[in-house]
Amino acid sequence: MIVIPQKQLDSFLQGKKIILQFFAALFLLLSFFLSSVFATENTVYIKGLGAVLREQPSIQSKKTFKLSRGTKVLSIESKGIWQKVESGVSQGWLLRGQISKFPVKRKTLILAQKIQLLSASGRRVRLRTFSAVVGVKGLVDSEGKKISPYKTDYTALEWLEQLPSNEENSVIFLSFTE
Amino acid sequence: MAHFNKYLWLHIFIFSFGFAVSGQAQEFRLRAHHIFWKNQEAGTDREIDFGRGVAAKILGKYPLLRDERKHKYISQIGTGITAQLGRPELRYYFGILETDEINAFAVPGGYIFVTMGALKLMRNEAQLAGVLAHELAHVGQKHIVRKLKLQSTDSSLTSGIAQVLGSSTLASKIALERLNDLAFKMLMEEGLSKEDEEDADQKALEMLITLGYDPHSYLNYLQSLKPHLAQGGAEVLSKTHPTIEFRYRSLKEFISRHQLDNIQGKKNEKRFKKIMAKS
Repeated sequence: MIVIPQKQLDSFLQGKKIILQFFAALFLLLSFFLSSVFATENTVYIKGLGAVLREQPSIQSKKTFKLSRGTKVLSIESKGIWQKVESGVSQGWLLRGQISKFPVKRKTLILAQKIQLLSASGRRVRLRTFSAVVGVKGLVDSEGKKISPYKTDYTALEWLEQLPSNEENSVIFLSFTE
Repeated sequence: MAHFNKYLWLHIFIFSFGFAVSGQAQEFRLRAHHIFWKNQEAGTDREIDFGRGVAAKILGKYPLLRDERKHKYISQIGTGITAQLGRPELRYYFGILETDEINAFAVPGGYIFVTMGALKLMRNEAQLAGVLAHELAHVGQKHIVRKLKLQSTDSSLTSGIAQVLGSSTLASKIALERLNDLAFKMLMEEGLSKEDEEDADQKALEMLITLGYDPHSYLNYLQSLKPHLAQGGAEVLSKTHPTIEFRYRSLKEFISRHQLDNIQGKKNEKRFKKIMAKS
């Protein structure tokens, strides 16, 4: 370990305090901002279910590794619509649409689905939001005039919203080739 | 203490060096980034509220085809795409509109509609996936929200909607209704910008390639629209979109720029025709 004598250190710092303070402050700022800017530019997240890494930037290239949704990866290189990423020990190419600059958020449910989840019986609870009421009566202003000239159909919308949907099964369904 | 003050700046210097080298600054910035995005979740709720209103107006204009088999098929194709390439925070809905008009619509919050007229014109699953991918790109890029300039001071789009629609007062409900009308009018009359449509076409092509579909099928679908546009079978589409010539040329240029000419993919013609043939 190198030990700098106190006297030598004092004499070195004498008269250089202001300069040292300035550079320390500058260095602190730069070290924070620069490193963080580079960090967010290089850090990306896997958006979808099961993104497959390929050896080369080509759809015919060999598949090497599968990454799950939300995995934080480092973006290393881009080539046209392809992006090279690194995750732990594995590296490979993805199509740029498979990654996002932002962390993956959990699914946002509409009110009816939230109510259904909370409902002890599990049966569907009719949506009683402002929009459902408007769907039947139409929104009127203080003079009783309709705000919107357009018709709405919330019953049809609810029919559509209650149809089941499963991401994993749909991905399997989509992967089918004749 | 005096000794500490004397060397305070030296300590800061050493600490900042260590901070930068150890990667703590990076972690700190990322954590701040996460907190910021967590706050945007409220914005997504508002985007869906907004989108529901517009979707209800589309269903007020065109009846929804209540054919569970066809819906299941469209929904599986659409959800298969969004599960891999959509916004993970959204649950997407795919509806078929019972009209011979040829068109497809994307509404903020994840509501996608395709008309029976468009489905009748399609020849295979790759074309359907292409049309859905084009609409999904509009939702992914928040084109409608951007065009309505629902951008708040912190430059986040969804929090802009949250600011307008954040309360449950009558005034905010009226504001929501007016915004819904503006978005509906945009979809039916004014359309998005030429650049947004070009962007959605290119993203659709990239999605098809990612999913292993034949990207050229989408170009063939665009070509097949031409005679119908001339005959007035897609009045809304021709009012709201750039010309087919422009879209086709732009995609061809995109294909040659990224050397995608030789990419082949599946078309799944039989599966598509089997589902569409049954009533």
